[in-house]
Amino acid sequence: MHILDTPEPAARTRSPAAALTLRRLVKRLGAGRSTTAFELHVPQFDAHRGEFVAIVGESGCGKSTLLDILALVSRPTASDAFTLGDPPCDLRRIWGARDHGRLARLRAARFGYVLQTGGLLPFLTVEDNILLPLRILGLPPDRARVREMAARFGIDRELAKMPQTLSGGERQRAAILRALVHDPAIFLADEPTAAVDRARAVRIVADIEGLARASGTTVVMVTHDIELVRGRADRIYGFTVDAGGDGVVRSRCARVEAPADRPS
Amino acid sequence: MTGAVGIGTLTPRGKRAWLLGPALALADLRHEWVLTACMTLAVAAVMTPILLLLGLKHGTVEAYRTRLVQDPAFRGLEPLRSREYDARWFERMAQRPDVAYVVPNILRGASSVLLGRPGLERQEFVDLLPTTANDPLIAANGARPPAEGEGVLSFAAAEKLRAAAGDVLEMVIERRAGETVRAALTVAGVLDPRADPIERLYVPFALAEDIETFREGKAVPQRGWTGTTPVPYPSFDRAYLLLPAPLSPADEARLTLGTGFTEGGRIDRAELAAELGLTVPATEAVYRLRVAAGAVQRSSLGTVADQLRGRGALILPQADGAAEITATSAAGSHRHPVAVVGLSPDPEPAERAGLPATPWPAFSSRNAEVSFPSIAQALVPSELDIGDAGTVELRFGNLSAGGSAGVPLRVAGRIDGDRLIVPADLLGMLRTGVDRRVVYDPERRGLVLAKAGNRGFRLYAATIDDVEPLHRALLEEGIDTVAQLGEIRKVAMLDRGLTRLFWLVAVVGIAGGIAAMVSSLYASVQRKRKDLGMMRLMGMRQGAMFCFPMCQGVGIAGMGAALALGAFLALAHVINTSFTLGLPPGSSLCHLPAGHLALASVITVTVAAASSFVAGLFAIRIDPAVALREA
Repeated sequence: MHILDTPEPAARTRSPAAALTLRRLVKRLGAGRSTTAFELHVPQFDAHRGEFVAIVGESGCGKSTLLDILALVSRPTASDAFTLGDPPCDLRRIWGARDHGRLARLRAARFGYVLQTGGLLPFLTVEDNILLPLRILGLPPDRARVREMAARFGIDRELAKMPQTLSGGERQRAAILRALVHDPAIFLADEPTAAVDRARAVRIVADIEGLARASGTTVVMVTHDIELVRGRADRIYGFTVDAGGDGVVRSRCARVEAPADRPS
Repeated sequence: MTGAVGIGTLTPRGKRAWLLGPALALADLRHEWVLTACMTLAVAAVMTPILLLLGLKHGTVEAYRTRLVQDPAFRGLEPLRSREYDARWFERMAQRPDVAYVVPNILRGASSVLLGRPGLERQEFVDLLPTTANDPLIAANGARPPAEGEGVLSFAAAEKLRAAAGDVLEMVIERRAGETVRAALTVAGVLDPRADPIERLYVPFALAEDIETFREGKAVPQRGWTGTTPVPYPSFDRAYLLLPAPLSPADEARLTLGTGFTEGGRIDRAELAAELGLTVPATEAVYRLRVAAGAVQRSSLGTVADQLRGRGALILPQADGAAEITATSAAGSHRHPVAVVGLSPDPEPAERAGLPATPWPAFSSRNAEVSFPSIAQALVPSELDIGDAGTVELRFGNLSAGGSAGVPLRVAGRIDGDRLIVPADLLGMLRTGVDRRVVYDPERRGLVLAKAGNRGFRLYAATIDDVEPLHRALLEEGIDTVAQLGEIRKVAMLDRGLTRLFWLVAVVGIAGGIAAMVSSLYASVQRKRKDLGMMRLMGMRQGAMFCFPMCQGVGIAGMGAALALGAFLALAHVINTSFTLGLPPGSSLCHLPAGHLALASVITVTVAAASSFVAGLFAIRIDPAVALREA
């Protein structure tokens, strides 16, 4: 099932506006008891408005580290530029000032998050979960709109239920709905297909892609399965890991030149 | 759907945003209702026994205190030894704020009377106590103060006599063997058993005092009880000596040695004339004896007379004090302030010294038997207008404070000069009225020495807490009293002991409660790390994050407190209905005032809030990245 049945091509024809921009970003993680020291280098990362960007990699490649940075929960060690939106909001400066309140407000207003298992709060009904971003922003709960969107997602009968009574797919759709309800600029999905079977996973990715196309929301999706996003993503970023002789594992994140027309 | 939310909407501060933390916290409590119920029960399980213990402590101590407070027997103080207390002492005591009531008591030996039904052989000894209006012992034990001719019986007395309120009894008061008087007495009421364990009769103070007077051998004319009448003894402040020849210095010195007089010496006859208005021949040697403080009595004058035996000495005792006479005749009433001089010389030396003749017996320093009519006379200065009155009324002493009662004196004659001349015995008796109560009894036509004071008292402190300080204060005055100090201290000890016990249990309980609360909330935060991380990731404010465990703690504590209150009230009811024995009516074994209950709830919620503070701190430190990590 597609989230949006009538994708609009408008986003593609417009001149690309920056949504997330990273330049020469470095994140260093010190050696822990069971982990070695790790360095993530991102020379250049761009996500434009309305684009579907995929970050692909196996575990341990720095994929999670990059996701934390993009999700505004982890502070980059160094960078030449780290901006959000257009006109750009300088995240380097906000991190520099350690303004966690501002970061929280940016997360609440500009981001929608979908986690591997959805990340719905178990003590709220599906509807209240979906309305939560609006409540965090202090906006009035637009129940009619939620109902209408839920109907399009096919979970309108599930709204009054508690999340644990839903199937994995329904839960994931509710999570997607929650991530969209406040019209965020960036839709961040972390392995959203981890908990479902392949067929469903393909459909979910298609939905997410359609969403980016339709609403102009920038979609950043993290996955370990490049096949899921091949041919759909506007950009794909991958990692090159180099276990250096000095005991530091270095990973470089760069754009993968994917054949866009290869069938999935 | 449209694009990004503008910068301007990044800082929404609606009213709803404030409620988000509590709303989510309560939603979580409702969702995990089993856990919530467990924690609520845990709080109630800690609080209920503490409340019960506090209620028992409060109830027990209060009940005991109430009994002590309600029962005047515990507030009473009675002197250990008998001593005389004057009216001023009673006034001073009655005015103390820590004294509820004080009544004079009669001598212990005088307080036993026989009581029985008239015409019946059977009579019982009862102990007699005086009472007046507002006696708490009477009022708090179901009786009313007895009026004249009435008495209130203690329970034991009523039982022994088989008497009830309204019965008429006969009281027999025995003095010496065979010397008895009788009085009818109506029973005004019977006291509760707790008031007085012994057979006791409470009568109006006047009757008790009359019985004491009768027992002392004196007459009580108003009741027709015969006996002696105490006549006031004469007392003096000064004495003048007239001698035909001067004394040797040694003899002069002896005048103030062991005589009661403290200073003395020869004076000029002009001084005598100025002080007494008496002119004596130049051949007379005049001495004046005085006392620094107090007065001398007849015996002192006797000692001086012995020292001067055979020397032809005239002793003229005098008293300090103002006097006035009132003469009532057909022409009207005349009042004159006048200086009074006592003069009762032996005729022979009086003639030698040229003193005016006095138509009354000479003053004897030994013989106290003087008939009052013979000394109720005066020589009135001729310059005073008394009309044709045959008698004048003399008042002596501190006239501005009332002075003595008016004593009618026969006008024995008129005299030159400005001094009123009266018998020395009369002046001395009036002088005694300055220190003691001397009244004129018109029926007996004589002066009577009234009772100086009372031999004991019955006193009730305002509260039981005043008993011990009052006991100490009286001890400082030299009055050792018997009070229920032991009982009162027992309550204080019970209170202290139970308070300690309560705090011990409460501290252990509260510490356990805090530990349980902290660990539960901490564990809850730990368990919800991912959910809390998700909330952080979604941009929830720190305040709302902090609120989350805080509201849960307060919510659980509130419900726990409500449950504990309910349990306490139910259990207290059970306890109070099962154990009612030995408690005064209206008091309960387990009871807490509403204020205590409210305070306990507030403390519980505050402690819970403090406990959840830790959990709150932990909640705001959760890294939002955990939501992304822990799948």
